[in-house]
Amino acid sequence: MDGGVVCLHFKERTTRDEGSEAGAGGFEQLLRSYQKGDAAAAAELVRAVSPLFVRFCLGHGDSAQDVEDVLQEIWLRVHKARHTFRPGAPAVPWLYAIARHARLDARRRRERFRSRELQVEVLPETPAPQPPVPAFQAQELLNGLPEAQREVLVMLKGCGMTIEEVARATSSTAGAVKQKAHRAYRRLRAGLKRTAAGWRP
Amino acid sequence: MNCDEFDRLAAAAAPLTEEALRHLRGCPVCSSLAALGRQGGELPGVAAAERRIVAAITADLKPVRPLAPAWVYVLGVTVAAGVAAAAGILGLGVRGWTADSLTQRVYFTACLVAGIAVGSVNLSRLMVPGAPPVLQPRVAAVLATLLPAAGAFLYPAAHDTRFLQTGMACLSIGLGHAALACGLMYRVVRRGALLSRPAVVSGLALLSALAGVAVLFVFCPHREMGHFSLGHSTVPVAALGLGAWIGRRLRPR
Repeated sequence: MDGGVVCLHFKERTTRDEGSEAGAGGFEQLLRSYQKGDAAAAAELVRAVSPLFVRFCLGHGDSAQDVEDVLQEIWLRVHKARHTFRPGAPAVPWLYAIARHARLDARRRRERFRSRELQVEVLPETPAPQPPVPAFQAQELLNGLPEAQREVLVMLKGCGMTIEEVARATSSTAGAVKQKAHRAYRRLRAGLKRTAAGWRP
Repeated sequence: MNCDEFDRLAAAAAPLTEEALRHLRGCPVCSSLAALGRQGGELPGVAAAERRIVAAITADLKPVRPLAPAWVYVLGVTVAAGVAAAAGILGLGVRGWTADSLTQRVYFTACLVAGIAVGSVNLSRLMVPGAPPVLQPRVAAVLATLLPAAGAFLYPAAHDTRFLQTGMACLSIGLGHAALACGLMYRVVRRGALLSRPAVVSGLALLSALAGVAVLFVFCPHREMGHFSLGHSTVPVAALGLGAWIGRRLRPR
């Protein structure tokens, strides 16, 4: 067991905050400047928050191409809804609430599109394969969770959000978030025990 | 500490105690669980995507005025509902209200006032991403459809040969006033974010329907259980269905 895993909660906060000099408080300041039309603040916000959105999407098992598309969609929505951020409100739930809906809409669109695709007998020529995406370890286990539980776990563990932030981002309550996380843990634990006696992270 | 206790601690996102750390060191399953979600987050194409995004959003970046405080929208929506209801009552009269008993008046007035108050707060929160609603939209929908329906039992059952005609007339009056309220409310909340379109449009429709039900409650002279069930209680249900249908067909802004 290494120290990185042991200091999980403290490191998660650092992971989220490292994109911005001032962390979550910095996001709020950047959002306020963005509302005032400050292009430099907008650029810094994109650079600071995009890795978190990527982590969020990867945590749900989205492919690299999908993640790029969703990232653009998320920022388009953030841009259009930037006036709805109220100064003094927490920035992280505001950002993730938009990201969450954009990702869900994109996934529904993809599923609709794929359901209409026709199978052909001879595969068309495909471009050279993209470099493999770094695997999200234990992604299969996460993918086996119901959407709501996975979402909570990814926000808590992958994005380093607090219970209250997740509750706000998902329009839920802190109690419901804790319950979903607890259920997710129970399912993951059962999956871990069942599938891999020798499995190690 | 056992594994269950560790799960509870981790689910609460609480800092790990000494005892939890000792458990982690000795339990491979818990340490695997604790490591979940820590990997990933880097993609080769993201830097280029970020550059494209920055270029796109800074190209025509203009200052925007943040939304007004929530109470402004709560007040605005409540006033819009009140104006639509008042317009209907002034035009149609108060024959229903004068025929009612105190119990019937108190029940419906309390339901409508509480419904409009909670609905307007909910709607003002739906305008802002990451603002938790007072009531979950599904719960609000169930209450707003069940409470007027339950109120029908306060009235006697009677045989009415024109049951269908009077019921449909009241339904159309209720929906007409709901449409008026909806138009006014939309003027108030149109600057809000439209994250979940079905939820926002259904919420708007449901709140508008309460204004329609208020008009019917004060105006309608048919104080009879069957008529209330068909002509009045179906207004929120129809508005909710219509709102959900429209919400699903709206394109993202």
